[in-house]
Amino acid sequence: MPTATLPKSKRGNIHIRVSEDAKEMIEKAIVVSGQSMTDFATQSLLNSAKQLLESEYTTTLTDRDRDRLLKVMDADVEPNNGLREAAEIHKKLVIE
Amino acid sequence: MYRIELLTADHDTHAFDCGDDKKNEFLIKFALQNTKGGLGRTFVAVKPSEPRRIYGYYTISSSAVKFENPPSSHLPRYPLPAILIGKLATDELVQNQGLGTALLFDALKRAARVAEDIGIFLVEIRAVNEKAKQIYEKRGFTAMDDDPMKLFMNLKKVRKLLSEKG
Repeated sequence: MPTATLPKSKRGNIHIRVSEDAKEMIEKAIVVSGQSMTDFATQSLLNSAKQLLESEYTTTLTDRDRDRLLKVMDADVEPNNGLREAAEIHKKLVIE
Repeated sequence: MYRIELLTADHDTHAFDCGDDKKNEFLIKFALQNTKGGLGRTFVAVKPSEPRRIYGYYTISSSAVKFENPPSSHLPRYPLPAILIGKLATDELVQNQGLGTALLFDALKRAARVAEDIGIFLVEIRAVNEKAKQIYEKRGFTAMDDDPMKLFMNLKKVRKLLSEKG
């Protein structure tokens, strides 16, 4: 996402320190990509950020797990003893 | 007895030690930022006599459950909304005294309250190891088969239990 067109007030700065080796490799990649350092870094960081947020806040289930989950949603509605016990412990330890 | 409340800048996040560096560090560096960034919230257990000292915490956020292949039946094809209990930890000083269980139930209770209002039916929790998995199963979560460290609970269970108690 090009930042040069953004008004100054809408821009944020990120400063990072890297080793000489890392910097050399990044500069090579920038030459290959034909992007500016800023655009390349922004794009790379955004991609990693999206990926991380996606894996942290979404869960993808296989067919077998999907069917298991659907059963939980349909039929698993009775509190078991372990849950009842947890409610008791909560009552004893927590001031409402 | 503990009070469970939303983490604020007034709490002392540095004294907390659950024995897991990552979870300690999360509380110090990221928990408040997550709240500010709208990524979820952290609730902490304190004692009324030491209102800044954290003895345990949990995080709660929204999540989405997707399927590799959509179900054929009555369910919609878009992701199912769920409430994710992300992290749960207690201080080493008070481990094995029930605070972890109390925090878990507190998270479920909170989830059930929100769920009622916005129509969410599922709570998700991710176990860090086999022992944690067994604890969650004991409390009524169901582990998945292919991804056994992911567990879910139908919130109707919690609502039912809470309504029995009046």
